[in-house]
Formats: sequence, C-alpha cells, structure tokens
Amino acid sequence: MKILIVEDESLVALLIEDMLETLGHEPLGPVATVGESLTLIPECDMVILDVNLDGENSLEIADVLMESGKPFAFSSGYNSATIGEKYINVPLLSKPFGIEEVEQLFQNTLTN
Amino acid sequence: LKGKTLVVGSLLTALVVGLAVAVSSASYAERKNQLAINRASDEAETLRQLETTIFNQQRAIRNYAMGIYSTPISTFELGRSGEVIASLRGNSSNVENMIDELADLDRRKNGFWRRASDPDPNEALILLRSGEADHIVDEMLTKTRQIAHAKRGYVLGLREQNTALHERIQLFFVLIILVALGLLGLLWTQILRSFRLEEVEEMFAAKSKEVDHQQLLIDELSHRVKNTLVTVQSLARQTITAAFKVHELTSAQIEAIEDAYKRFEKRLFALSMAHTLLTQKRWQGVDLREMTLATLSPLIDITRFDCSGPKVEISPNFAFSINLLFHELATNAIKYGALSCPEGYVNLEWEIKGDKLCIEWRECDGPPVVVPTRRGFGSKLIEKGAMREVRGKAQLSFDPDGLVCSIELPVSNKVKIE
Repeated sequence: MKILIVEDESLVALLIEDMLETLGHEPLGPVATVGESLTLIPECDMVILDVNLDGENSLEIADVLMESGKPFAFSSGYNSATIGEKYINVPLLSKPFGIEEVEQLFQNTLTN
Repeated sequence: LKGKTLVVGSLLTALVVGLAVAVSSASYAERKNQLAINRASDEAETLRQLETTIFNQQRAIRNYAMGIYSTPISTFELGRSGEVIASLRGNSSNVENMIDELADLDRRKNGFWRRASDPDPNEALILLRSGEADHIVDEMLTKTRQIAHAKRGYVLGLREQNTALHERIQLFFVLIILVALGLLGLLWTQILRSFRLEEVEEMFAAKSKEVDHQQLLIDELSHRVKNTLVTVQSLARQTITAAFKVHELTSAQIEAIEDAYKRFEKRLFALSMAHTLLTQKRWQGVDLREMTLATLSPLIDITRFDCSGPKVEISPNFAFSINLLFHELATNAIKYGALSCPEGYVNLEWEIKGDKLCIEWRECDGPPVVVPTRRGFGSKLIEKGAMREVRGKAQLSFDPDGLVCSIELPVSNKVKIE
C-alpha cells in the first residue's frame, strides 16, 4: 500500500516511515502542509494525518478524505475528544505509538 | 429574574392605580354629600326663617282675634315662605307630603285672610274668634317644625355618612401607603437580589473561563509532552538503525538490540500512559487501583492478576513511580516469572499500616524461582530507582514459590487515604 505521511516534525515522520517500511508498505511524503497533502492524496491508498501541522489545522484534509471515502488515521498527542466530535470514528494513533499499533491499524482498515 | 421584577412592578402599579381610583371615587362621594349637606343647611336656615314668619303670623292672628287691629302679614313674607316650600321639594316623600300640607294650610290661611279683609269686618272677626284661623296657623307652625326636624335628621344622616366616608378615605390612604411601602421593599430586595445574582453569575462565568483556560493549557502541555516522547522514541530508533548500517552485527546481536529497543519503547509507552491518566485527573492525584489497572492491563490479561486494598489516592509523583515499578514487575513476570506459564498469576494487595502504605506484589503458581546471579536494569529500577523520589522502599525477595516485591511508602502529603 502507498501511504501518505502528513507530519510536520521530521523526526516523527522518519519514525513512521521506518515503521511503514518494516511492515512492507510504501511511504509517500512526508508532507507538512495542507496544499501539498491535497495534491498527493490521489496518489495514495491511505493517509496518516498529524492533527496539528505547525499551527496549521489539518482537519481540512480530514474533511476532504472523509468526503472521498479514502481511509485515513490521525496521529496525534491529543485525545480523540479534543480533536472533535465529528471525527470520533476516525482511527487514532495516539503518540507515542509502536509498530504493533500501526500494524493493527492496517489490519482494521483492510477488514473494513 | 427580570420577569419577576417586571411582575412585581406591574402589580405595584396596578395596586396603586386601583387604590387611587377607589380613593377618588370615595372623595367624589364625599364631595357630593358635602354639597347636599350645604344645600340642606341652607334650607334649614330658610325653614327657621319660615318658622319665625309663621310664628309672627300666629301672633298677629291672635292679636287680631282678640280684637286688636294690627298690620296684616305682608304678602312679601307669604311669598317668600312659598318659595321656601318649593325649594324643600325632592328630599323625601314624607317631607314632601308635609310640604304639600303646609302649602294647603297656607292657601287656606290666605283665603281666610282675604275674607278677613272683607268690607264687613264683623264677619271676619267672627271667623277669627271661632279660632279657625288660629288653628290653621298652629298647624302650619307644627308642620314647619316637623319639616325642619326631618331636614335636620336628613342633614345629620348625611353628616354621619360623610364622616364614615372620610374615615374610609383615610383608611384607604394608610393602606395605600403601607402596601406601596411593602411592594417597594419587595421590589428593592428583588433588584438587590438580581444585582447579587448577576455578580455571582459573573463570578461563576469568570471561574469557568479560568477552568476552561486551564484545561486548554493542560491539553496543550500534554500534547507537547506526547510530541516530545515520540521524538525521543524516533531518536532512539534512528540511532539504532544508523548503528545497524555502520556495524556489521550478527543476527543474535541485532535481536538483542531490537529486544532492548522494545523494552525501552514499552517503558516510554508506560510513562506516556501515566501522563495521559494524570492529565485526565488534571494532575490532582489519582486512585491507586485505577493507576495499577491502567499500567497492568496493556501487558497482562486482567484475569491473571488480583488486586485488593482500600481506596487510596496517590500524588502524581507516586503515580509515576508506581507506574514504572509495576511495569517492570509485569515485564519481568511475563518473561521469567509466574506469567511465563499459563497457570501463574499475580496477587497484588495493599493496606495502610500506621503511617505507611504497604503494597505487596506476589507471584503465584509460576515456575520455581531462581535467584538471579546478576541484577539487570529492571531490578535496579524496582529497588533503587522508582521509590527513591517519593522516599519509599521496594524490596525484592526471591521466594521459591514466587517472586515477592514489598513496597513501603510513608503516608504523608504524598498520598491521600479515603
């Protein structure tokens, strides 16, 4: 699977890339802005989306993804209640997370 | 509340208006009565004059009858008495009848007088002497007195009525003043209360804003801590990955390093979990059972440990220590201890003994315990690291039936027992 990483902190992006490669997926990006994300979305199968992009709110991307029906997950230090009622059903990788959680996320996405 | 004030206000206005209407109608009645009294007094005065006139006539007739010539009663006087009689009409039927009778008597008297002025005075004299005229005038006088008496009664009645009305008006005024004062007081307290309520509401709003702001800060701080933790995790991972690329390592070495990295990651996650729980509790302290379950349940099946003890609230510092300690104990139990075989389980108990909180971690039904020849980082963390900060003690004993860890913590301001 091609997975787009939307993450503004490069070290965190590196960690996610590392995990994706270990799990045999192809990481795309990482990108750190809403604009870049929107151009790359058509090329990927799934998105891992950081909620806060250096002050820029990435919920705009989440709205586009929800509309298009493309699978995605948030990665955030916020809990799901803080992100918003609307996104309560979006899977959340709660920072810090391990490779097992990412693997579980892919399994759940595939079964859904 | 504003509605309440409005209701009280309109009630007050309605009452004042109602009482004003009552008072003005009462004073209108009083004024009307006063006018009637004035008129009746005038009439009474006229009646008195009439009485005098008739009395004079009576005297004159008597004098005449006694054969003494005197001046006849002037027509002016008679005319005036006629006017008086007319003005007396319309008071009461009784009085009216009496007036009619008086008018009749007057007519008879006038007829008599005419006869008395006839050219033949002898006839008149006979009539006079018969006492008829005298009788007529007597009766007139009686009637006049009766009318005057009725009039006086009527005026007296009106006066009494007016006094009663006046008293009622005064009472009304007193009532108006009392009710208005009461209502004003009520209105005033309502206004004061509304001000106080507004003050309290403002205070609450400010407080809740402060709390919201505080929550926002806590959430933001927690977010940053999580980001820092994930950065640390990434640094460790990148460091290891880089080392793998530079050094030629055997697969056993790689496995050992990966294993160590996993243990590091798990410790980091446990720390993060404790952080999340404390953030939820706004860093005010947390229930020991809750902290224990949160620490152990990601690692151990909940059916494989029993925990029992009184409700104890622990400080954030102690929560971090206990989190780290239980994490190490659980990891060890899974790898080497009771949880490494399917029958084994962990018994966790705590109690308050004097000024100490004593916690015992006891592993049961596991493989025979072997005293380790070398102490790893895990046992160092348990015995030396975790409890030092909160001035507690943790002692590992390698009981052959199962590992036991005894923890003692001074019950001070660090913990709260309920």
